[in-house]
Amino acid sequence: MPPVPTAPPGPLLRRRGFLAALAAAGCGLASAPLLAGCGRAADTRSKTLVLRLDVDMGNLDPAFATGRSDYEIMECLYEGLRNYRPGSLDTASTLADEFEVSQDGLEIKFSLKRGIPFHAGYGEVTAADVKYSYERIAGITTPNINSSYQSDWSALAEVRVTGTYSGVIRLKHLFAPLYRTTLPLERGYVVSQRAVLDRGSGFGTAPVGTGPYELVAWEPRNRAVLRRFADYGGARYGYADKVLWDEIHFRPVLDSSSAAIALTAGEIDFGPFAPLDNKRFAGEQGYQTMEHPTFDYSMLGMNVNHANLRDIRVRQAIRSAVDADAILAAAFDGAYRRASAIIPPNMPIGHWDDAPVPKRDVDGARRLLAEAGARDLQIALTSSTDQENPRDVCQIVQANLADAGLRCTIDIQDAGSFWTLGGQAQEQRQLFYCGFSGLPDPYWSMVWFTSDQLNQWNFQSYSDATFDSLQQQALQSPDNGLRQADYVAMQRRWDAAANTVWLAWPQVLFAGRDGVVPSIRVDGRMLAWNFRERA
Amino acid sequence: MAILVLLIVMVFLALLLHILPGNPVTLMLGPRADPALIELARQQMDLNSSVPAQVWHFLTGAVRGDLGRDFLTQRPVSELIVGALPNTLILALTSLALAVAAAIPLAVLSAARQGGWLDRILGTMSVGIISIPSYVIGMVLLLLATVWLGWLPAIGTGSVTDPLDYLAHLVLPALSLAMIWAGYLARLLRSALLEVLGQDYIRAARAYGLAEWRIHYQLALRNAIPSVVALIGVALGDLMGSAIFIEVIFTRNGLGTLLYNATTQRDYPTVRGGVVLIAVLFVLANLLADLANRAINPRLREVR
Amino acid sequence: MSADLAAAPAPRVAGPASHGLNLMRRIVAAPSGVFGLVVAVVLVVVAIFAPVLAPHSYTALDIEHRLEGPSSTYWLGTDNLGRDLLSRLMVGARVALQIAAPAVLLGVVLGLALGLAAGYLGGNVDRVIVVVLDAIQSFPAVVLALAVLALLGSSTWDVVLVLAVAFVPSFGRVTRTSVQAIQALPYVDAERNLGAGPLRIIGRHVLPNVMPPLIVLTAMNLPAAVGIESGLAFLGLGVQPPTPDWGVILSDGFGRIRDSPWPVLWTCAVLALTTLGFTFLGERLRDVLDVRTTEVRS
Repeated sequence: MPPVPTAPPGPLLRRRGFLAALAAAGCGLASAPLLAGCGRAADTRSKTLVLRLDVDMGNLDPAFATGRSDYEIMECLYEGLRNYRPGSLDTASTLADEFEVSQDGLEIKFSLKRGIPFHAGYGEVTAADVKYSYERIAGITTPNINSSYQSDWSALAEVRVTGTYSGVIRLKHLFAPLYRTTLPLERGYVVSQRAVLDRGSGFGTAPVGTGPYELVAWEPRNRAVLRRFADYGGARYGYADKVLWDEIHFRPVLDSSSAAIALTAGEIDFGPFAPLDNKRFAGEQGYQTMEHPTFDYSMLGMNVNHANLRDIRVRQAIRSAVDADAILAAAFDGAYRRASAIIPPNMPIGHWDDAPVPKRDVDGARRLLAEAGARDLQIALTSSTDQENPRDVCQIVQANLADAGLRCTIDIQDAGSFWTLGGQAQEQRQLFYCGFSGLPDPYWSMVWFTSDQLNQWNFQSYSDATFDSLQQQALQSPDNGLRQADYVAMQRRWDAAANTVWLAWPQVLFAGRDGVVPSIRVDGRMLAWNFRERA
Repeated sequence: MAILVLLIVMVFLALLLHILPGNPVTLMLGPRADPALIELARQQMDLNSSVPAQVWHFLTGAVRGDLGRDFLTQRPVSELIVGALPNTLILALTSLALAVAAAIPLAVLSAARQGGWLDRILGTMSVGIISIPSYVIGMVLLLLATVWLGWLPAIGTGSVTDPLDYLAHLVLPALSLAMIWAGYLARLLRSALLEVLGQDYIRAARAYGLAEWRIHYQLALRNAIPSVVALIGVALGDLMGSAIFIEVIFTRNGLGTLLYNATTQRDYPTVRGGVVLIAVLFVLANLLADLANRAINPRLREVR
Repeated sequence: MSADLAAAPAPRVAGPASHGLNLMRRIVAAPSGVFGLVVAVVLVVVAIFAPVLAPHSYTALDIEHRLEGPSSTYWLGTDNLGRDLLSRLMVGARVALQIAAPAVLLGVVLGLALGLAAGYLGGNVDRVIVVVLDAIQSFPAVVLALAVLALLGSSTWDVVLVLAVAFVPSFGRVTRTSVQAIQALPYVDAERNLGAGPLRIIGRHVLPNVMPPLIVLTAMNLPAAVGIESGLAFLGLGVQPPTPDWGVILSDGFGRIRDSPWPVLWTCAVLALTTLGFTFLGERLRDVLDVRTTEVRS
């Protein structure tokens, strides 16, 4: 069963990362530990929390993390200068004692709390560690580590150390997403410079941070075990209670229905589920379900460079013919909101309030197709097995298009094939169903659809100079009002290009046993360290 | 003989990539793999050596227990298989045990009242049921016992630490598989019994006043069983194949789901490893059945 | 699973006794024969005329009425996208036969050829062929299909080929045993001494005697083929949407079994009827054609 839309695309995920993230379903449970009685008996001596991951773990180095599973584990291991308050869009100070942004926005003066230790005896956090952490991702250190997240720190000029615990972050230009996505999320975590230099590429599986938990076991496709860090510096205790659990286990179980088994068998406590499996637990005694909005989006895209889809009338016809409401009802069990554009309403800025929501118009579609002389067109619809219910979505689209007189073939590929970038794969792409995930700043939703992402993640081959320049403009704008206008303008232009049928803004659906009180970050990621127990 | 068969099977699997039309790497990874992955695949699947060398490496590796590594996570395939095997074996053996346990009384009763209603029903249905796909029976049982009646849990293997729970999860899957073979085994046993019951020594035993049920269960059965033992080997092999469906339907973790998931993920090393194991088990089962047959039936020993 | 019943040949004079109407009459003399014949005929008719017979288009969606039980519009109810189950099952019959029939026929042809070669040529050729057939039989057919389809992907033709290969051993064995028995007969021996060539012997003696068991075996293997093919589709291998293979209908229905049991129920019923029907037909044919059976195990 495919999970919710995949993690952010881009250099974040190499094919191997993708493939690593698509291990066989349920095999995590099939392997020896299960039969060795790893099914949890009630253990009163140590409190253990077991969480399900729906994508496999990859790399816990903030510079190379591969996806949302890594993020959720890293949340327990690392801290940044400022992080999101649990469940809120506000950030609060974690490692930073003082945090002052200059008038022109190009300098951030910070000072660290004293005496915050790293794991594994690597000493205190110092400004030098902050400098190293950020500069290595930005690609400024030598050698350049070529981090997947280099673009997050592309505006970084340097981090100047002014004292053992203080420094200044200097930017080359304004970078609006810095405060919402770079600093408070994975790219803003502070790592121990000594540890990274010691452990080299092994750092990704033996991380050293300042967080309340440290990694004690790493078994890809099986589990990751975290234990409470005895010397935790308490940087988060300004806005959160003391951590409860002695151990936290993360278990990647790719198949949602296998994960449902695990929940009923008591082998996991909580985790995300596909709509159908989530429904099973709604209203059941002893279980709880909840949903949380994300910044993700799923869509039907059209590659405008393909001969079949070059004519805008054909694309508009497709947009008119597809019944998005039917897809939401039948394929997603009504669990997701219908999307009208790329930016969802819970995004702090950028939501286009009065985006047009196309009503299904089969006659209109027929007219457009006739005008375009596209009567005998055969379109190829592709999707990937790692998407949410691709079979139903594709069959509904196929039937919808057939009503308008368009023939359509379906090819649901394995994830490796579908997510191949550029080259022949891109040339052959026509109509496709997939989703990307988003972050709390609209920049990251838009970035994949600019001209420099052609033949990369820009599957629609959307290239518009105004769009590109608006994106650059909004990136460096200090004014939220102006940014809002820019992003709406971008979405307007995009809508006019008619290369996408917006389907859903997927929520993440959780289910778990009644006894845990979950804590979810603003982008839908689990904050395992902050889970509590119901009294 | 069995060894020879096994050898051919292994060679076939080693050569499969080359037998099928298309470039081996493209077959495994799909048409648009990136060069780094292709290189990894070539190395791990030993594609850079000559074809005979590949076969040799595969055979020697398999004997040592090295079936390669799964592409995606680099875990040894043998580890995955060994982890998944116990659940499947338990399922197959339990099903077989249930089938035999049901078959014996059915056969004895039919043979005792030849031509009676039980005999006639058994005659018709035994061949019929065995031809119904296992997943059909599994689904119907799932519907009945779980969705409608809610008696038994629908999914999972249950917690291993709690035997009762594990059993509860085992009942339906084992029953589905057992039902298929019970009728067929019963029918065969019945024929063998009839043959035995016509013998002189049976009549002699009756003349001596031996109780009827004793005659059937102790004397006749003992001499009729050998002809059925042979089939148990076949049954076990067939059960391994059907177990794939049953495991998927009842969402049990085991060799079947491992194989199935590996197939959909295009994880060829794991698929190959799983198939090797199943073939080995099948040949072993038949071998054991053959040996058991010879041990039980002294006449066969002489013929040999 | 493949019904693995091989025939010891009943050497007989090739005569008109087993032809045409007489055969039919004898088949329907028993209830199992009637049942089997009816099922077979209905299936073939539905398969051929499905597009005409089906009350709705098998791709027409009706999202509002999805997962409903039988009603006046949708006689058997609807699936998870609101498509008519009856129509989909009917077209599914066609899909099933389109894969199963060629697979079994191909198996017969290949099995016959191998069996003839083994029986007739004897010696090392025979030994090699027997071992190869044994090797093929040591996989459950599904497992063999998985191994191959993992590489070849989902194409109908690949499924047909794999199934055919899986059935070759049973046909091959039967043929081989037949040939061996025929060759041992005195009058065949005599004919050979009189100068009759191998082709003549095959044509006059072997083929007529091997036909009955082969026919029976075909009738028995057909449901196995349908079962395996639907099973593979259930697992997601072999067909692409929206082909309404019975296995696909089952799989879709299985995912939503708690919302509506009807897709699963009807598909199971259809599969059970088909397999039972053909199996009974095969049994009856075996009785009628007087084919003695002995179980042959690998």
